[in-house]
Amino acid sequence: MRKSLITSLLLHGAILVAALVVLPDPDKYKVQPQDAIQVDISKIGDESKRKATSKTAEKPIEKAAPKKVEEVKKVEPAPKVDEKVKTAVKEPVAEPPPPAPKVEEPKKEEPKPLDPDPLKDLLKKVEEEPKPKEEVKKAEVKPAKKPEEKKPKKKKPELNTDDIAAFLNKTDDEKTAPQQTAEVTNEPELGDQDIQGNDDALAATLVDALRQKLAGCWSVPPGAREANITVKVRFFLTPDGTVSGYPEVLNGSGDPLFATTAQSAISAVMECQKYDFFPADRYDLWKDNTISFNPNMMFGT
Amino acid sequence: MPNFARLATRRNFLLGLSLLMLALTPRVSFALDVDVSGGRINPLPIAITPFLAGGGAEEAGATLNEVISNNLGRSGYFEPLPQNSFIEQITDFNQEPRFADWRQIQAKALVTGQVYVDGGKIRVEFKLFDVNSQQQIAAQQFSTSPKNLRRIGHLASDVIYKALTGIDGYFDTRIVFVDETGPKDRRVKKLAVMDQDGFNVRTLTDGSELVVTPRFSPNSQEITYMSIGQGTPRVYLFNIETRQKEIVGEFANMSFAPRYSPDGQRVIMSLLTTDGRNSNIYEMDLRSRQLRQLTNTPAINTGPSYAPDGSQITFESDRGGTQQIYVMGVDGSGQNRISFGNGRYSTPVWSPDGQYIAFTKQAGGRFAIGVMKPDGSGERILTEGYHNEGPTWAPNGRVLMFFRDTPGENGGPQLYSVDITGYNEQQVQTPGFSSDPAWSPRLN
Repeated sequence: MRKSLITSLLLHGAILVAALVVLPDPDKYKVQPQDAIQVDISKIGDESKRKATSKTAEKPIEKAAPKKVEEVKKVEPAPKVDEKVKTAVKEPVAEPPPPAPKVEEPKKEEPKPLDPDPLKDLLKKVEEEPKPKEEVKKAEVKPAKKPEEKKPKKKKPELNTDDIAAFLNKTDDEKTAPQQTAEVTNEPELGDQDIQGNDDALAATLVDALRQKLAGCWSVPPGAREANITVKVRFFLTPDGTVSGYPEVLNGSGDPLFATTAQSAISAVMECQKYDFFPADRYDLWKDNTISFNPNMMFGT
Repeated sequence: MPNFARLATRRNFLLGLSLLMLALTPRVSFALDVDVSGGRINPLPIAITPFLAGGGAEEAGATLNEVISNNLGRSGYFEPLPQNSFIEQITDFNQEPRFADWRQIQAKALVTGQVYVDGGKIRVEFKLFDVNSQQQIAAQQFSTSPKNLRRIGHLASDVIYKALTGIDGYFDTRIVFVDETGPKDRRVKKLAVMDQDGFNVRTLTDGSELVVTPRFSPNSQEITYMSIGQGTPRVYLFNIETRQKEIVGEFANMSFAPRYSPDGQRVIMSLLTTDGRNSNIYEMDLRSRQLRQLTNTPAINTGPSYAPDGSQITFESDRGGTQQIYVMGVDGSGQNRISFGNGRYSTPVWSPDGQYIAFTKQAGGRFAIGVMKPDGSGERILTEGYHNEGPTWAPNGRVLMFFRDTPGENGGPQLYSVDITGYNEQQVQTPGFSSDPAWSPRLN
């Protein structure tokens, strides 16, 4: 027993001594992790991106480390919103350049009379736009290269949460906007505005598609070609793209020429049926339509 | 850690703020609001179905179809579809057409009609539909003696034209012109009248006197014209309906017939000065036959034409060195040149709607017919060639008729019409050579 007791005491003593000898080292190890300052340097790269894209970036700069984590989180929710996006994730990696030219195509087509099919294609493209947002996600995972590239590209203040109101107010401007949609495609930061921004872009595209379609169906009465007449017609569409009921003329005039022009506008709305080039899952965007018909063919000023 | 906490707080705040904004912003209910400018200007495809006819009126039905179809087609605004392309054969005037059948052949408008004899008179009914909206947009019935059948066709054409173009029709009108026969150096010139589509040509004078420049009264079936017989040129008033002729006077110093004022009570003309080197513009009251001089410049002032509101007069003058178009007040005040293009301008005629002045323009050895606004802006050449002259306006101000001469031994003048846009130039069929057309006001 004694032997064992002595052995035990010796061993414990040895452990204590060893512990005393070894302890300083762990302290050193504890200090070393503070070299994470290097990590901070890589975050400064992110900061430059933030400066270019965010109006309110000053305070966050001080806390660069945590932000990096947050930004990644920011991006994730966007793709989650749209399942289609997920399915698209696989392809876009290999095709980052194509999206830009693709979206430009519809611009060129606009002046030409469109068949329903091209319209469908155009709309599909807009729907597929979220693709680039996936690229964003991946891009930010590798921040080291990105910052340098982005500095020159973006001076656009992209939409922060702070800017949502402003973004909503932009609705009118976006009527002109498949082009904007095209630009947006290359901008990674869109993640935050996905739902609202995509609606606006899509609505703008629908407006263009409808405008082209109706212009092709509208036989302008010769007497109205030089007249300054605007006929506002409202109509509702059923989900299958047919006109529900009868178009309603919203304005009026005692001028017989107005009546003739209004009749021609109604005829155009009816002739253009079916409006089956609209995205079926966004019926909310195109069920209610108001069209301002204006011959606008003045000549010989 | 405190930083993290602050950030998390800030983030929650931002998220909350944005959600609040989303809730407060009056979200547009995503009604598409679209501006459509422009559209198709192609001729409107129109199906004019065979008029249903019974009791000996079959021929009348065919005539009506032909008159309406020709009128609308010639206007340039319509494309009458061939009857053999029709899917539905209308058998009952009162039954609604099967619009899907008409849509299938691309018809935008549809005309159905019936004609029958009723107590010695011909009774015509027709309906006009918009195929796309399936709406009846016009309907009318006429009753007349069989000899006026073509006029019914013109009246129906006017109704259809106006309903679909928004412009008053011009089909129920006539053209007075100078009918020319015989060799070039010994032409016999007779005054003649015809429907605007070239049918029902009748001569009004016997050819014993040379007649030129007939002008229609703007509100009756009366014309003025100048007759150059053996002696002094005479100016006549002539009623197309009654064939009553009245002499206005003898004018040794006149080269164009007078034109009427818009109220038909006065005429305006140019008379040479006694030395024969210059001419000036005069207005004559048709009741008192009193003359009032409106211009007094040492130049050739001629070719006057009233504005439709009677407030102004346009005329040509070479007072600036070459023939140009001028505008002045009805009392001769404020004489201003309005044509400044390259060339010589003559025969100005104010359009019935007041918007344009038509003219003949001579430049580079060629003659053009054109229009410009009364302030001289917006000059537009409608046609050009070896020799075009003497524009006259359809009463709706949309179509001009003029005559075009062709060179050579066998050449001669022919009548042409053209839309004021310069499109749809067409020759007007006449029995022989024709010149100096004058378009009547509407007959009804």
